[in-house]
Amino acid sequence: MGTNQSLIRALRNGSQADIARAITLIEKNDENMSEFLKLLYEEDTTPVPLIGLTGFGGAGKSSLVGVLAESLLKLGKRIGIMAVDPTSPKSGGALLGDRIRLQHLFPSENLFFRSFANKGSLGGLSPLLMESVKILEVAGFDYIFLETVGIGQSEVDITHFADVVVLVLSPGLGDEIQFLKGGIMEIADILVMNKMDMPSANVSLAALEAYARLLDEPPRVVPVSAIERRNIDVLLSQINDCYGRKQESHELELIRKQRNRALYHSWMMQMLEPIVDQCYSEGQVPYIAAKNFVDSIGRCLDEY
Amino acid sequence: MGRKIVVAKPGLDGHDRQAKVIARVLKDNGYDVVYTGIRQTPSQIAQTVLQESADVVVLNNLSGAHLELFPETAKRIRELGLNPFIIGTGVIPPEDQEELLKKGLDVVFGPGTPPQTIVEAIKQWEQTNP
Repeated sequence: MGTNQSLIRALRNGSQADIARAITLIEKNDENMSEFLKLLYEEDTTPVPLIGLTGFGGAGKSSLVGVLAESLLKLGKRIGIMAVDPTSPKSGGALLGDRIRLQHLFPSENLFFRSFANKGSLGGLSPLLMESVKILEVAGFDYIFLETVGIGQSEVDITHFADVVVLVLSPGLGDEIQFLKGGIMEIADILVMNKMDMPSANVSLAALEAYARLLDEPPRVVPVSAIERRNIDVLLSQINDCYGRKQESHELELIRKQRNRALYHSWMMQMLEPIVDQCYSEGQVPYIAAKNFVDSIGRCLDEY
Repeated sequence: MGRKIVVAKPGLDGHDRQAKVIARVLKDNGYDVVYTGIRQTPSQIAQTVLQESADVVVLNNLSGAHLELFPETAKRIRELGLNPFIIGTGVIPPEDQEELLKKGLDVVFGPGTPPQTIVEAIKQWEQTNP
């Protein structure tokens, strides 16, 4: 009991060692996890802007997070970054390479970066990531960035629950832009054309702008170059403006409600896995197995 | 839950093929591997190990500065109250290997070591550190 309370106290002070410990507690499914989370949810926190960055692998998400963090650190802000890379379907291991792009910002008192492998996250949404957001909120960061794996594979990506969604594109993706018509393009708040230092960049930018205009609620299009630090301040103010607009229109409240509900969903899905395995190995008829299970839970809830 | 490993290159050595091969082999053996990239200071590596809650650290250096950089990095890591399994790799002559073991490294591998030997060392450590 005491350990958990002192961990929460340390989190309030923003101790990096204790933020890492708290995340690991959930990651390793520690025996203290239930009690720790109970205490964590008793904490009053001021909402922290959660900025989701998504985009194709190689579009420059990590580099962009790096330069955004660099600018914000200069303003004296405290930044938390969570970066997700894919788990190998063959070995179950993962190569987490997102840190490379911003290692030059360390050592830093005000920057906390944690890499995550996306293993076990059904539908792309892992409870660990969501609870880590909560931990970073309690630790009093000014911004939290979430960098996802390359898009295209997950149906319920956590990016959908970010306060501001930034889609990072790079020149030469014209065909893929068409391909994405019904997808992430529609939910992104800001479309970033990165690598504007490349020769053909203006052509791609024009195509992106033309495309964005056709959407019902046209997102902002921001051309940047992460390696040349070009237009990063414009992107930052667009992010801040977008957050401010959503705050005023109470859209943020709705996003956070959805995010919270999704957390119930993802924990339950995660805990159901062994039961799914059991039904499968017993060779039950899939529909009947699901129905029997849910009915029995319903009866328990009624009695409860 | 798989173990998390930080592969790091301290110092000004820019040759990272070996570190990348090690990182890849560890990934292929089911580990979550965080690669820091080249030209890291001991304190940058120590902070990375702390933030990532790494269980194992693989240091790699090919420039000959291992006698200064490896013990210093190990010291910085342990000063943060962390106790990961620390492995030194690179162009390290046998006589230096002995010295590194006395200066905070848990195991040291020199040139010509098959990557699988590193995996075996980690597996052995895991058995005594569940």
